[in-house]
Amino acid sequence: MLLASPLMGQTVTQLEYFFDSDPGFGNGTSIPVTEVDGEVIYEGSIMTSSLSRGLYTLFIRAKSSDDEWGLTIKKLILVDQGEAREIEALEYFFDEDPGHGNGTSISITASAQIDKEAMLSTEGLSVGLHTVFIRAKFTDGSWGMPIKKLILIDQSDPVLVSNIISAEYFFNTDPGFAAATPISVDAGADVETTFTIPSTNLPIGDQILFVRVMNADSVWGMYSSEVFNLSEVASLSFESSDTLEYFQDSPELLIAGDMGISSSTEISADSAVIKISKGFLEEDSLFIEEPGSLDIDSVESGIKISGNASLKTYQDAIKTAYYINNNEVSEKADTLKEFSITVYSGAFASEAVVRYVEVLDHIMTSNEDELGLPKEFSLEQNYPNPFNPSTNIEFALPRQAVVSLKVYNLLGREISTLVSGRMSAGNHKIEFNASGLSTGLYFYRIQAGSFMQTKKMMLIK
Amino acid sequence: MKKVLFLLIAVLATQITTAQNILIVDKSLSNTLGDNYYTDLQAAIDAAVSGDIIYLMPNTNTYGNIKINNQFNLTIIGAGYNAAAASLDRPYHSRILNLEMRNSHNITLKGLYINGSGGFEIGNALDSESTNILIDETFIARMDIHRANNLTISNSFIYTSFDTGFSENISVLNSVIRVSTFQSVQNTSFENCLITGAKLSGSVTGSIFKNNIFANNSTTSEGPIWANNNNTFINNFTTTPISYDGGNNTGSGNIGIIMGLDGIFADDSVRADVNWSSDWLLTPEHDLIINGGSDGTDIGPTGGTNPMDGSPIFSLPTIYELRIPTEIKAGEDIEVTIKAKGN
Repeated sequence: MLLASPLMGQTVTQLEYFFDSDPGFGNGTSIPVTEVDGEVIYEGSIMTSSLSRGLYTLFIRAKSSDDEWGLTIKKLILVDQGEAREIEALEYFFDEDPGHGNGTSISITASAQIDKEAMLSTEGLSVGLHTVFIRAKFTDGSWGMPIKKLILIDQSDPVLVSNIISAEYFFNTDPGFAAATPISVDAGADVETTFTIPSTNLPIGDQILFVRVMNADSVWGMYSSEVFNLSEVASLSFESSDTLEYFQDSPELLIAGDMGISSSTEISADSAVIKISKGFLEEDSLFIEEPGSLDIDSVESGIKISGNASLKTYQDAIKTAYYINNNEVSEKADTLKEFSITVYSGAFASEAVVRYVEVLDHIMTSNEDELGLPKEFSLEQNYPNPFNPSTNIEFALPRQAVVSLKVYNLLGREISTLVSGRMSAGNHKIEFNASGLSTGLYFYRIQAGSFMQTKKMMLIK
Repeated sequence: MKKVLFLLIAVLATQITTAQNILIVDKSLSNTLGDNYYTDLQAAIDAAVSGDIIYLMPNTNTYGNIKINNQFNLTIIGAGYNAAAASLDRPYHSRILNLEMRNSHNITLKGLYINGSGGFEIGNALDSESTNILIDETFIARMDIHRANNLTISNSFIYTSFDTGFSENISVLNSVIRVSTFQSVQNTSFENCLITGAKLSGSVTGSIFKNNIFANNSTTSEGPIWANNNNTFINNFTTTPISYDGGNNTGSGNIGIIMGLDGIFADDSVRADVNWSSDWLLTPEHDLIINGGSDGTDIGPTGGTNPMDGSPIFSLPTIYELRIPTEIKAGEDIEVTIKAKGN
């Protein structure tokens, strides 16, 4: 609809239009004038039959009763063909337009409407995000606008998996991709290799090893890391003439004489523990008394420990792997044969046995059975599984540790804390009651020191 | 001399702004390992320049609420999500609580775990429109993409809600859509997906469904009204009686059988509850689905050009097992064993 309003006191007497070029006032194509309520209205068609397909600008202007032409108004219009044109060719390209006719052709039969499924070759495209463009060519030789689609050339397709070709490691500071210490690997989709790294130049204490791999597309993966403790081990050696005295009344250990400890070794109380064990030999078995708290008074040379050095029982410290049973106490007068002294640094122990010891007082303790303490941390599969509503979770601690045992749902939300606190070495069993939970898969995770493990369990109601 | 100096600076500046950097974000680090290291994801995003890639290291804790605003050419890659990784003794999710994107373009999100109640959102405001977005191998608790153009989701898991608003050119490929509600989905293409647990309401219009498995869905009280919303259904398999061939829809090659999930997936856990850790391998005997797609591959997530094949989904070449002793004596060699998969 075209609406023209004359100025006050004037009327519109003529309307005309033209396309693109102005033929001059009065030379455009005339539009019939109809006046309604003081406004000139035209509702009708403007002929475009003489125009070929394409984009045009339509200009329209009005002349007033005083013979003056007004300003033109204009409108961009697209003149299309009345009938659907046939498509005679399709082509596609990725990311950059090679120009009309230079894309990769898709075979079709010419038609006004194409419904086609085709496999487009992605050969030569790098891994990552690309845009595919597809466009049609009409029988009149013109090309349509391309349609586009984002596609991912993925590495996860087993057919396209990119082999691992190299690996590297570093400690503490990342020197950058491909700048760390290389690891020799045999290229493949699945790689397993065992190698050794010298610890010579690493400082004593907790260290983090970072390892990462690279595939044939030169894409580096995320690093995987593990914490370990690098310990310096003090050495002890005793001569048979060395003497230790142990006074029961006063829990004080006096060390006399040269014990053969290297004078260069100095261990602080924070990082080392001296363990004094009193025991005896009987029928080829070594029986150990549980050590108490002893004050290391003085050492003439060598190892120096300040303050109270607490004594700990470590299974691994005693090569015969016996432990103390406080409930079994008996006197073994005059049967004491030896002391063992162990210095700990980290988890490592250096043990020496001192013979010919004079014991002024002795109360012996024996244990009956060989201890079945676990040798490593472990988390067992729950039983029963599936379960309803309760199940048992067992885990093993080779040594005393702060333990966290939690249950999570599939979204990773914590459902329950079963254990949180310090626990003694040994095998433990915890019951998990899920009576308030719904059917589904759950995870339980233990963390004990640096040890962490997760397992799945299924609740079916 | 001044002119020469200026040119050198100009060249250097160009190199800096166009170089592709890999920024590593690791929440577990107490000390950063280099210049490109961050413990905070938002800080890394804000520092990123065009072309940068962010590696988001997995962690048992979330990286929190994240905004990607006014970014161009940015890639964020997490560890991937999968059942197999869950059995490893390490964190296996690169967690983000809620992710909001605004006015960002050419963005790739890969291997993330977005599990906040808000999930992933592109806002409704006109200046929020974001284009050329790829989301791959990602868990998304909720998907609200009101102003996106050219967005592809592949090999992903959408969990509670799916809404495309005013978006255009949305494709969902080889993904699991376990949503309770399709909020407002239009002009979206779904191919080789498992669509389950959803209420198939009338809010899905003008969309294409090809080679999908519809399982355990429910219709509204108005009945199977997807039939009248100008949708196209091709070679889908459904376990619910939806008459999607009719009304204003078009379709062909669809198979409808009233059945449960039994007999479709080999993994028993899928039958009990569809979740992100499921194994999507099909039951070999089910010949209606295997190679039943319009392209000759499987109907469902294991078909198409980028199948979920039941193996762990790692987004990068990945060391999935690293073993070293926890205690090492000074001076001794450290014995290291690694197992890694290409990608």
